[in-house]
Amino acid sequence: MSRLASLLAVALAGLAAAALMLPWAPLATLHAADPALVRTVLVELRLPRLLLAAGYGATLGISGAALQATFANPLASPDLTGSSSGAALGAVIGSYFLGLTGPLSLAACGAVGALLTLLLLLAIAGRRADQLSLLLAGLALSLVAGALTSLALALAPSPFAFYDSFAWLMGSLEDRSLAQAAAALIPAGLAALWLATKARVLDRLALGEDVLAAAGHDPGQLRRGVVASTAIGIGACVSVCGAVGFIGLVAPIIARKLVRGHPGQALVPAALLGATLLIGADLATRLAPLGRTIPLGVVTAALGTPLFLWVLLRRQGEWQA
Amino acid sequence: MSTLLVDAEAISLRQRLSPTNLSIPAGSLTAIIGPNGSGKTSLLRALARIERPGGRVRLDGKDLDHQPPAWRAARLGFLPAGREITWAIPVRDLLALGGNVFASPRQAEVVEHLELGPLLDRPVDRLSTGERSRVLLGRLLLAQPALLLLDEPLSHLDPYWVLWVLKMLRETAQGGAGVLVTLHDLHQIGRFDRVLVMENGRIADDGSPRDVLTSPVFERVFRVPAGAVADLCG
Repeated sequence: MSRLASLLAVALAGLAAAALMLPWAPLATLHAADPALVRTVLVELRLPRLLLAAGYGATLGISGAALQATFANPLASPDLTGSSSGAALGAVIGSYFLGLTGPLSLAACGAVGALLTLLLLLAIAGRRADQLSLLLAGLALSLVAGALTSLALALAPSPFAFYDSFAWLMGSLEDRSLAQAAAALIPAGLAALWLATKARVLDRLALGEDVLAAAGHDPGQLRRGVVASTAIGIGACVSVCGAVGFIGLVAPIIARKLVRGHPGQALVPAALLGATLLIGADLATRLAPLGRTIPLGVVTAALGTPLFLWVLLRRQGEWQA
Repeated sequence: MSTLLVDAEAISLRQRLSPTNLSIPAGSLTAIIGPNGSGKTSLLRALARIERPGGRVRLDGKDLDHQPPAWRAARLGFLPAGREITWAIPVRDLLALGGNVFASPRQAEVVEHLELGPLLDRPVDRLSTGERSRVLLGRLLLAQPALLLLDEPLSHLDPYWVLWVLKMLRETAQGGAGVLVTLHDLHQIGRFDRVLVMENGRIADDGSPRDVLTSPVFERVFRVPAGAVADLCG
């Protein structure tokens, strides 16, 4: 476990260094013109971007792993439960209708949106829903939240709301300030720390809620804690970077393969993997030889869809039975 | 002669279990029977304090509600009726979940008798329901708790395993534990020390298998003639 964690940490550090230094050509050109500019580019452009990629990726990984463990469902994830879309709706309403501009208050709106979506999901699908109903209810909520977000943008007082929000809605780490990074990552970091302390009890939850309750734990309290802290983490990150798909699904699935299937032990590796994947995906958007930056969501979907389909096909037989 | 292991006072579950008092001596093997929906599982869940709207359960003289999880996990084993496990955890890890070790001769015996050896490295979600039942029972027996509450432990098992599991439960009881088992199928009823008959969320009868099977309560609750199954006691 610790060997695995250090291996992942080394990979993460390597990618982080690459994300700061690449593409290399503009840095070299700037250095020739004015060395001070290199520092500005690194600290004010690339560092917040790197921090957000690492922190958002880690939040997606650990939140996905915790939701999957709690719902006993390998397909529960921030995107498939609709919480990312709910967070986006919350942030849009906060920004265009409540007139909020501070990154922290928008992060709070995102968290409220994610929390309401998760509570609705629990109300619709039930707390130990079978995999298919949770997935369908999550999909429905996700579509409704997406439609309401479009409606909110169409009705927004600002005529440029759609245009302004497009890049953000598609998920983007570009041009964020250190203050915005802090507003996303401090709440998300606290939520992730709380989740990490629940790894052991989430492992035991594999035996069922009744077994946990018979041993004197409170499964209801655990479930509420997981839902609240994932909503805080995801809400804060979405309010700054938009909804990024698939990482919250893929990272926990791979992480569990690395820890012999234990859903709780997978939490920290899922965070490290999530960070690695999102830094890698963001790097790919910048390095792709297309002459322009491609949207982040496209890259994460390209990474995630094959794995998602693989899980679906593997489960199909069980649903038919 | 037998020491008191469990003392439950006025335990109840809303609409499923009327306030019930129950004492369980150490070293006893008890079956809970009753028609569908009569409250067999509810009685087990109330004893395990999985839900706890009212009453009190003392285990070894200590109020369960006030004991920390580690204390409860070491002394109380609960097997739920559902045998599904979502995750691909190897059987070896599942058996060890909650701090079990394979150190004592008794524990090696559990693995051997339930033939868990060949399953140890297989992921538990890929086993058959019967195999998974053996694994989950094995996990509880390895932990050697003072009180075992088992919901339908004999269902999904082949006849061979039904007999083996009953033998192991008997040995566990002889070792001083209290074992409570819900039963749907009455064929093995004669192997228990005591039978509780549930009806509409309360204990309608409580006695030895022979007494219970020949009583008018049995006829009323199960709607079959008492004599028809009395020979099950051999």
